[in-house]
Amino acid sequence: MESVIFEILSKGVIISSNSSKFIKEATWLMEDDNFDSLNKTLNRLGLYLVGENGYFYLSKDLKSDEEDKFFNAHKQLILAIAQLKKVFVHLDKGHKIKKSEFIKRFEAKKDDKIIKALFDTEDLMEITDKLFNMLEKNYVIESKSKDEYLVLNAINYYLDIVDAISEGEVDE
Amino acid sequence: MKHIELLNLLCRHRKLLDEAYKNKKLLSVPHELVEIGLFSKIGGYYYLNEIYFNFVDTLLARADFSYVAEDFEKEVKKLIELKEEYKLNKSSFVRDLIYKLLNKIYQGMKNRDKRLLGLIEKLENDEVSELEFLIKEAKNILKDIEGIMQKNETIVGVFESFMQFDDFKGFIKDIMLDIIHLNQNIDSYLKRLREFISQTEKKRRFNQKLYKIAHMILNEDSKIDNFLITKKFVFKQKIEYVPDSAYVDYERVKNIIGKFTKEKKIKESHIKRDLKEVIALIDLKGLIRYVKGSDDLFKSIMEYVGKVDKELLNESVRVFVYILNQYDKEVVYTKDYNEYNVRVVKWKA
Repeated sequence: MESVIFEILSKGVIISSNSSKFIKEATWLMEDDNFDSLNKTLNRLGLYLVGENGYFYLSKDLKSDEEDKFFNAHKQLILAIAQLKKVFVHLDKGHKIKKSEFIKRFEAKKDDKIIKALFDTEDLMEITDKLFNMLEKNYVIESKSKDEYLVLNAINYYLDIVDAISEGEVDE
Repeated sequence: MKHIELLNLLCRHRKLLDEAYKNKKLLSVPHELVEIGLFSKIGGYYYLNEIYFNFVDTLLARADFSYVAEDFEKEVKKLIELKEEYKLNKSSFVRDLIYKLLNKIYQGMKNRDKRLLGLIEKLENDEVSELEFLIKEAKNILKDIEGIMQKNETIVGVFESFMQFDDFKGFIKDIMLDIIHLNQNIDSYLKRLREFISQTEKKRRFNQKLYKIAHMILNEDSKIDNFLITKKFVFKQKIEYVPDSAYVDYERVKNIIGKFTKEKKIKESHIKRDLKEVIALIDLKGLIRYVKGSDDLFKSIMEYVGKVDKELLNESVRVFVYILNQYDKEVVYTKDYNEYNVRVVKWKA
């Protein structure tokens, strides 16, 4: 199981314990002994296994030339989540959301600037598909059916970044 | 119409009543239901009588935001008047009226309790309404319940005052425990509402912060960039790390060691193989001979494994970790990382 998990995490996957796709891996990682053992091994390679609030990921010290890439990727996701949260104001891990509901509410809740920055289309269906695909690809949501998606615990990885920005920084 | 006939009528039209309960209005209903006052026509629609909603919502412990909790102020006032009258004449007529009012207030308090609980649960489970709306509604309900709490004290006082009469002593004793219990419920509803308001306000503040940060990102605000780059995060160590930088670049490994067969095939073999099996397959003694004196153990292991069996190449990491554990005293960890972002580990000379 260690090697399976390593292979998944090394591709940048954030494993959420509420994901049905990674249920075996998450269950294994939730055992303290397993987590500690894998983390110990990874530490010797200069890597870190991070497990918090129901999600796990592999990390390493950030090199200065990687900062831009890292933050830019996060910026895109923060924008996408901000738009999703405009439509679903209660959005939280474990919630189930529907594409059809998003489409229904989108016009009233659309943030033109965010949409323009993220997508090169004004077509509602295309925007919806692209936004949901982007979030699914980054393990923020998981498809349950053609219409329904589960919000994974990993959403908190991005929301924690927002949360960690001090109020003063935003208000100044 | 007798009660049993009314029940039969309702039963006969249960599907229509269910539809009217859900949709609030209908385009047409049987005349007999209009005749008994269960429906009234306003404009082009038939509306179900409010009494029916009250009856059903009370039994099902439901309430919508239009629900206004009763405070029984008029009933209590009347009760006080009747008490004074009863003191003077002990009339059986007044006694019956008092019983009726005591019962009405007591039952009303029980019904109100159920609906308030339904209302709070509705608030807590609402995942659709705007946060501002929910906060406003919750604050209004909180204000109502605070008022109820005060008025309940008056009710308890008035009820207790009936203990002086033998006629009511037994009844008051029977219901008093329940009344105290209902008051405790009110207290717990206040706590739940305050918690709900606080959590919803927190959620609203967070959303506002998220939108603000999103727009700072869009406006390429230097403050947000500086913040992100200097990593002035409040507490999390994890921000120092990056999850999306793959530890091993398999594409680059392919270029150096040779071509993989189909990736899927390698993945399958990787998952299924036991480490012991891998170690046996690569010939550990041969590997040790190969890596002795290596300046970069991981790269040497990849070279060796690739020569033995390219399909085992994906196992290099596990073999590397295995060697580090088994030959701990033979290796030296450096501070550097190789091109695969793996720490450079040397075999002791």
